Amino acid sequence: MSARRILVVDDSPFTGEAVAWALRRAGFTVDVARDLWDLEKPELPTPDLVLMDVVLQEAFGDDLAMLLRGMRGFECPIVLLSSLPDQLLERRAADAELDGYISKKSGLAGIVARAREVLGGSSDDETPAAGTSGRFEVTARQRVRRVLHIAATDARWNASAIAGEAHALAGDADLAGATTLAEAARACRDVAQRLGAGGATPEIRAAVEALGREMPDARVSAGTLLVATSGPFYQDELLPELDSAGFTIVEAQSLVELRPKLHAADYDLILVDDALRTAEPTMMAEIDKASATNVAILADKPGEVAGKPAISRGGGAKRVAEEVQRLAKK
Amino acid sequence: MAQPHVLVIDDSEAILAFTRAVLSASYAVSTARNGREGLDLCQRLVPDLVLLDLSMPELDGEAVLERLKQSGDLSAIPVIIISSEQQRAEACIARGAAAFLVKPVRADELLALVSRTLDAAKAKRAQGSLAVLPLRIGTMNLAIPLADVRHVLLQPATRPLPGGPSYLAAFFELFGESVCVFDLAARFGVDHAKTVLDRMLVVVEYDRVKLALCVDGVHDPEAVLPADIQAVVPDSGDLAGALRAVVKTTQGTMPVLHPPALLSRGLVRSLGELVRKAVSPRGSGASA
Repeated sequence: MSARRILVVDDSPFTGEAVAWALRRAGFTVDVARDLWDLEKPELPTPDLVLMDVVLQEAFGDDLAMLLRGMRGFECPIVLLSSLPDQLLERRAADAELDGYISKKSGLAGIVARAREVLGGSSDDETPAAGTSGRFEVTARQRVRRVLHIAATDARWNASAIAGEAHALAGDADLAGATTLAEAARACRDVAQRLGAGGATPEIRAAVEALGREMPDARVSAGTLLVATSGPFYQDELLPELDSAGFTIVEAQSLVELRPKLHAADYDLILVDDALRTAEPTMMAEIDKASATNVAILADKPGEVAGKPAISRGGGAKRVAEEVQRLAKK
Repeated sequence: MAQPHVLVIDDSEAILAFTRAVLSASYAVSTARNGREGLDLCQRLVPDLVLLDLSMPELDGEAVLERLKQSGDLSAIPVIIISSEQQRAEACIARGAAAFLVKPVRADELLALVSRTLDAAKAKRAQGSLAVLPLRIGTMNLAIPLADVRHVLLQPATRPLPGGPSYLAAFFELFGESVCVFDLAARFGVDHAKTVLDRMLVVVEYDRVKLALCVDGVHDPEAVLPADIQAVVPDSGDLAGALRAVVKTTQGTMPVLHPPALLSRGLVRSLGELVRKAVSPRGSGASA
């Protein structure tokens, strides 16, 4: 009998990867979707179970569940997976007529146990331990850096974005077992959500400060990068190097994601993957229009691409990070 | 009645699919993938409401908003901004956006906000409007202010009103009160289109005096927008001060009348006395 297939929908790369890792170890076949775009892909296989994050970038998981049922014809159980309070999750799952919820506080073992409960299967498998800790460190530090970056000036102030980052961090930290960090992130999220409409209130600033204290090495930034790229070279190699060089990294995987981020154009460097530049013919014009002058292309060869300096992947992630440091404004 | 028309302008196919799925049960939904296409569709479709993203190719959402608010015909269309760029909310509201919704958007919040915004826009349009009841008398169409209307009845049995002019020749009892029947056809010297039993009575009240206007038909009430209310024509001829306005309704352009002005002041004052005489034993008898 073929392995039962689970679709994990979560916009946090760490959570998506960690949950998929744990479920695969337990013998399930796992697909990961990080946003609405992924869910719309026609090649997305029909799963036997959907684990649906609630707070995504563009919409909410309980609303998307309705779309998956209505538009994609998914008839399998859909279970909410979130770090929101249990009571709220229970209500939202019931309102959307879904098949319950799992708190990220249950950890990876709890998630696997619930998947087995819904789909059946042996409970003799080794209970997974929280894995991918290196990835968690980088992801969490970047989230804290981004919160501090957004909160640093009135021009960038965006309580909703702070709440979003803090919420995602709480979920990641729950899964990684980083309880104190999860609690600080939750407190930051709750206060930003509650008081955000009132602007940069002292309470939100205090919560942001408290979060920063939980991850002291995130409080010093070597500069802010807007990175338009994706793929394993960036995720597995370049991101850890840029993080360890101290950069705050704002990511975009497509032009649609990049546009709103370009508007806050006070980056020390915008790094654009040449493959993405080629796929999106208007991208460079839109970057130039946003008056972003300090732009570099991540390409196969060094030199110049589209009138911008090119940084070669060929030298490896460490060399790319050094080149980024050189080009980034001080 | 046609569903209100919502135009969604966003460069994300996923968001367009999401909003269409959420709204299409209650609204007619059109979509555009960039600002320029959105502006073109606004001009062609004149939607009842626009949902607008900010960061888009071709023409940024803020520029679309500015152009809509500057174009006379389209400036009244309410615009809701949906964006993750919360820091731009104040500028958008200052430019005339009706509301700013921060992504991620909840389906029920979106539905509620669209409904509230459409209601508010409707109420704003109705400000300065005139609610009228269009009437048919013979071949004539005319209207009266809806605020004056108390009841609309099928023709009841009436009793003659001796001493009144030909157009004020009957009365009837309504909730214990005697109400005179004012035959507008007789007053204007035109023939009724319907027999007496098929006519209707529209009971109006002015200064605590009720009158029942005898008419051949009554259309649904309408709120006439300020743009469809023409300047009042100076008093003239038979209308003798009774003309309130000329309005454009779905039944055509028609005068709005103040019927008591078609009766002399003395006649209005003596209505009570005429009725009292009519209800005396000598004046009894039903005419319909």
